[in-house]
Amino acid sequence: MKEEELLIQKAQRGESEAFGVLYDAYLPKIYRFIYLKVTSKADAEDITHHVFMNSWENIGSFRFQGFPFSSWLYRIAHNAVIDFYRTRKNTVDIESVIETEAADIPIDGDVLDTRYEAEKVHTALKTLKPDEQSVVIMKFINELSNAEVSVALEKSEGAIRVIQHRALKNLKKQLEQQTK
Amino acid sequence: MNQNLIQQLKILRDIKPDPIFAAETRRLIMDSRPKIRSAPAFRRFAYFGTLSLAGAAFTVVAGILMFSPSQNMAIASLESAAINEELKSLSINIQLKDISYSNNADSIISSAITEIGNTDARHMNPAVLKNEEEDMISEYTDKSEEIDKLFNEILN
Repeated sequence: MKEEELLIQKAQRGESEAFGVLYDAYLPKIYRFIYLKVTSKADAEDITHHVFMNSWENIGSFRFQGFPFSSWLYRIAHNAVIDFYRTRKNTVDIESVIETEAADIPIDGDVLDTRYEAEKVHTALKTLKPDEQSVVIMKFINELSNAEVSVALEKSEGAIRVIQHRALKNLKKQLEQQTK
Repeated sequence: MNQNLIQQLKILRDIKPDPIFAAETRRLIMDSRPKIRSAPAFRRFAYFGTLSLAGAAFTVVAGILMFSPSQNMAIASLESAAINEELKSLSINIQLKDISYSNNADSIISSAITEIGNTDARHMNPAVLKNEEEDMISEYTDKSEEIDKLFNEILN
């Protein structure tokens, strides 16, 4: 954490190499979060690029207030995804996107079972409400703590636990239906 | 079952960004350095500049208030108790002034009335006038007899 603080302070002084280190550390998680929310690889790349450029440009406004830098990045990413759906509303059929893009899931390796399982879980995940998706991705895929998730989504930890419980219940139901 | 579900979700951790995309975005961030560097510096300058201006303005106002000769008056004029006191004393002053005026007027009027009513005044007193008249007659009478005596001496 101390090392991260030092990097942020350097980045705030305009040292792009320091921000580059933060970028390398957080890019895979932020990209994954965005990809799982928007499903399209191209859209995920566009939004991820926008998120990191935006955070770099506004790094001076970041303040250490007891939560990690990652929560701040997730918050920017979360808002970017909301904006994405707001602007794309009524122009893209979500179901068709799921069908089209599912095969394109960017997972390393050619193990068919793994790819199939990933696609199945992803499809089930897409049926959840936006907040439920966000909580599941942050908590169980990207391994954030409840406190970090609550900061990123600007909700109380209690609310996060409630959403998490409901999300897992709905996800399990979806996966069971797929199996039948 | 939840444990199994979480294991299934963990498969999605293998999702990774394209290395070419990652490198390109990194390069663009590195290139945008000059624009970013100025932002925090400007914010710091604006922040401390605003603080300094506010401090200077406060010092000037405090200085004016502390060293101004009308400071007590200005402060006193803001205290309701002082204003009430001032109003009370103002009212008393007016009343005292009225009393003083009334006293003076009374004495003037009373002396005028006394003077009007005073029949002992020498120029108005009938007794004095009578005496004066008698004096005049006696004087004339005395002088006429003397003149007659002088005429008779001349004629004789």
